[in-house]
Amino acid sequence: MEQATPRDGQPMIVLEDVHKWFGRLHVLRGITLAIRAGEVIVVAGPSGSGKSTMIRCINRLEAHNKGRIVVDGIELTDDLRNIDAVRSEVGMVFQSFNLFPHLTALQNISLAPTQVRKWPHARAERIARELLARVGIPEKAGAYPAQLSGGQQQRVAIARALAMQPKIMLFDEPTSALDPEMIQEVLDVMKGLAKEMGMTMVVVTHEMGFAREVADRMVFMDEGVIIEEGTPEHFFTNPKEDRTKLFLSKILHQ
Amino acid sequence: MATRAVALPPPQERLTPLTWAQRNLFDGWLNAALTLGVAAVLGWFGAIVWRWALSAHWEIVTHNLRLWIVGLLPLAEIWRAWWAGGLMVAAAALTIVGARAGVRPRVLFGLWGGTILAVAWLFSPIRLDQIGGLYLTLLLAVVSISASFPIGVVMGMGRTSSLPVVRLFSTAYIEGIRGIPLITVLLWFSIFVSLLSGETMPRVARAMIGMTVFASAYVGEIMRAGIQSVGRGQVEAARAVGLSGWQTMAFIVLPQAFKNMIPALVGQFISLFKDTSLTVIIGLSDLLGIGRSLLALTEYLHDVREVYVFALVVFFIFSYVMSAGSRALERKLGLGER
Repeated sequence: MEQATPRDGQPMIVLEDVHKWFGRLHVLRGITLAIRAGEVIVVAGPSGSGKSTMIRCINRLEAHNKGRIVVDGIELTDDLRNIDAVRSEVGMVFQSFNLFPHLTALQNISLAPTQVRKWPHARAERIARELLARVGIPEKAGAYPAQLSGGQQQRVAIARALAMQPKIMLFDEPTSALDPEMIQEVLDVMKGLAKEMGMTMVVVTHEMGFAREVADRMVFMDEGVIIEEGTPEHFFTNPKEDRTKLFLSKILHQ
Repeated sequence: MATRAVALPPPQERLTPLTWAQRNLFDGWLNAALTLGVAAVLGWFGAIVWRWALSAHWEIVTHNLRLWIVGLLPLAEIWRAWWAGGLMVAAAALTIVGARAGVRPRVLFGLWGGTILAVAWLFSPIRLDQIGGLYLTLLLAVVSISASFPIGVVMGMGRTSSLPVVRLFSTAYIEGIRGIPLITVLLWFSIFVSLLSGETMPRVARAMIGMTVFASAYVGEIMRAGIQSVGRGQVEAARAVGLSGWQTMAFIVLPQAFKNMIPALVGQFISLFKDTSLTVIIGLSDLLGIGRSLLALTEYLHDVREVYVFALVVFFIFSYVMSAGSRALERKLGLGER
């Protein structure tokens, strides 16, 4: 059944019957999902539905307990080399930015390339400045995170993730901690990534305008399972499941 | 009516000392009475101390300055002590000037490395047990502080390790040592270590080991708190950009942890500095030990107050300098954070 309109390519991320428990709490209850290269997936669902846990499993910030996760041909196991290999291919943006407060914006971005990729400082710095220009704040290179607004911090965080030249970007509610007037500047950067760079993206968000405009495929989760998936068009105009309809009515008419 | 909001300068009020005193000290008869009462008590106490200080026998200090500073160091070797002290003071002065002028930290580390090597070379022909007085106090403090810091860092990291064996060992060490008073540790090392080493190990070295072992446990605990004060999100972000566990520790967790640790760490080091006086118990002649030896001489038998007031002042000056230094460091590191 071919619902989505993928741009091209092979599956970049494969989840097969993935389960995850926190203690006795069954958070993921059998997630199966294949994401192709260049695809933009928006994951929606009520809080506690396991959206964040799912994408945190993709770069193994959480270890899944059952099932298989394969990222860019590498299966995630306890083997540390595999985990490090996957993490350097997967960028992640967090709800609370998690910038390193003791480093400037430029150092936040260039740290991993110099330490992990072993680039010379000059090259890492040049790329970092290019990325700051791409996210629209080239003048903030020397600023510390505390001197930046929330929207600027999140854009530095996106640049930091891009500096490792990842094939995949994961976004965990990137605009939920932002003041309303700063949400758009972050969404614009993300749109640019999707449209100009053709980045493979998995985005957990409640920004349905962004989803409608950018997503290739919507995934709706509740209680640790995927309830429904499909194109944004299908999802917003003609959802099949009652729980999806209920969620949409709440989130679109608040 | 649409008026634009104008940014105003903050209101300024200059108080003369007189109006300040009126407002804060003499507003109402109760406060006035309290002020006068407290002033009377302070004045009475100050007068007593002042009168005593003027009539006190400071000869016990002024006539024995060499003993107070270097103890029973042989006269032939004493030039070494003056040179070493001069070098340290010069290095400290250069550090302050250099830090103001924005010299690179690397240069300052080089300066201190060179100074420490020079001091070690100067003292190399002197047996540890020959050093006394303020020099011994400082030597004990510097050695035990600089040795306990790396050990404590390792212990603190071990305590937060995910490897059970490492965690268990660190926890046992920290909890074990914290359950024993410093005096007990010092006595234990001065008596039982001789079982292993014979009488070859100088008593000063035993005291250094005892104090280091003791302080390491406390530094370890401060370290654990420091590591845990760095948010989980920081570690996740570091791991997510591909940094290894060690790199995350070195570049993300430790720099932030150390900054948070400075107040507790300096507090610990100040108390360690003061605790060096406990080595009197195992017969070392540190600053306080020299004082006690002088009191045993017939001519100074009645100068107990002078000795302890002098020791108090010296300990206070050094502790206060450490504390002021730590505040300056905090201010410097606080830049750009908030």
